[in-house]
Amino acid sequence: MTALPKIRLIWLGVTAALMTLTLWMIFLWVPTEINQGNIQRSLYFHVPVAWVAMVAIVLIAVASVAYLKTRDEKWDRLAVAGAETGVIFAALMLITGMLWAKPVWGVWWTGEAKLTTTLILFFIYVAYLMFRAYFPPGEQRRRLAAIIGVIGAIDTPIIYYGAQLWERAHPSAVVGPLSESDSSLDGPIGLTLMVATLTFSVLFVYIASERYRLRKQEDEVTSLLRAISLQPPRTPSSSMDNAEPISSVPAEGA
Amino acid sequence: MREIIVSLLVVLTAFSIPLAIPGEVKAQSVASSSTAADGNTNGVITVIQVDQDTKLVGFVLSTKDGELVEMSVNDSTSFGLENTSGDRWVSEFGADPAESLLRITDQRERFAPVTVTVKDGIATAVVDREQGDLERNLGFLFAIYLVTWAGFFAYIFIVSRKQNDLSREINTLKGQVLGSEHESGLVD
Repeated sequence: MTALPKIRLIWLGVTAALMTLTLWMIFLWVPTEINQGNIQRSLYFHVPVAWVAMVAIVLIAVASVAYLKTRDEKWDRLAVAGAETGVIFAALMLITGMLWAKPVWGVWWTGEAKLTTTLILFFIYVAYLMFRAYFPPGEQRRRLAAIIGVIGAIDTPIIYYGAQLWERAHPSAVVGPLSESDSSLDGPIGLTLMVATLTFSVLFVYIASERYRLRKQEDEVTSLLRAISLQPPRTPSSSMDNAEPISSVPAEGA
Repeated sequence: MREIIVSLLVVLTAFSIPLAIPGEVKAQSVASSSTAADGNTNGVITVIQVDQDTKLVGFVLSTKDGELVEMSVNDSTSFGLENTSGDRWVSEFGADPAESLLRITDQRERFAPVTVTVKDGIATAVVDREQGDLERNLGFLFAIYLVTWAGFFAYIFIVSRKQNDLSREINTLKGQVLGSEHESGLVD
């Protein structure tokens, strides 16, 4: 196991400390909500996860625009890191949402706008990653993936406004420009939700940075293999014959 | 009109108790009811207590163990109760005492279980439905947290393993590139 650089170690420590604080607040500090009982504590995981899933698609869009403008591969790496991390958060958002809906609404899933647009968000992530996995590596793939990333972000405001625009089982927005002034999310419930959202945002940054690093390593392997393949042929007595065999030349990562 | 209905309901409630519960059992139960301990208590409402102005002052809850526990209400007692048509009413006793009595009476007539949070013998919250089945809901809650953590750990584990594999591969490849450059005279 490679030694973690200091900043990553500190970030991991901050994430762990914040997660401990969040769990303490969720299970020991915040009071039980009157209408739903203990199952309402799902809010402190479901909403932050959903928030991060939407932040991730915005990150992809921003990184994609930056890539299209500069053609710098670091932006493409950032978009990939955001997409792969985002798909994890989007999947968890859907699963935790269903597990919460069953005892509260009596069904696992309804066809309401917010759920449908959220499912579309998940499919956008999957489509983005599948495109990258199956399209031949190179500049064209990066460019087209960036365009998909920008288009995909259009879904984000639709999800946010979904509960306001159509009939719904979801409550109205409690944070942001559409939030209602008489929202019940104040006091300990609101504070716990804010802390949980901060914690998951920090966790997202950690996971995305790890994925970014992995992507960088994949690019490094590709360029090293390219360098080896461009070298002149060696004599049979070359010391290279004793080198450790390389498994395979990886395609440019997804 | 509402007051008349409430009065009728209270009178009916008072008269229906002896009909619903055998006399000796009823006498024994009321006599043996105890003040509820602090915390959450589940059960069905068996007796509703009102004052001379037909204002709700308290009620007796029959727990699943057959124990009768008595508790009073005050202005800050919160209610979250749903009627048969699915209309959920959320309010505090002080905001609408008459509706509180109606809802409590409705719960009692339907033998619908409620969960009451008690502090110092006073009901601070009276709710039905989800809280009435705490164990089932806790199972869902556990599943949500388990799935989330399992998802994160699995992903971080996969990424970490790939990083280690690639680090080894990069070192090997760098060695090969360096060795090749030495051989071709590019590096001293």
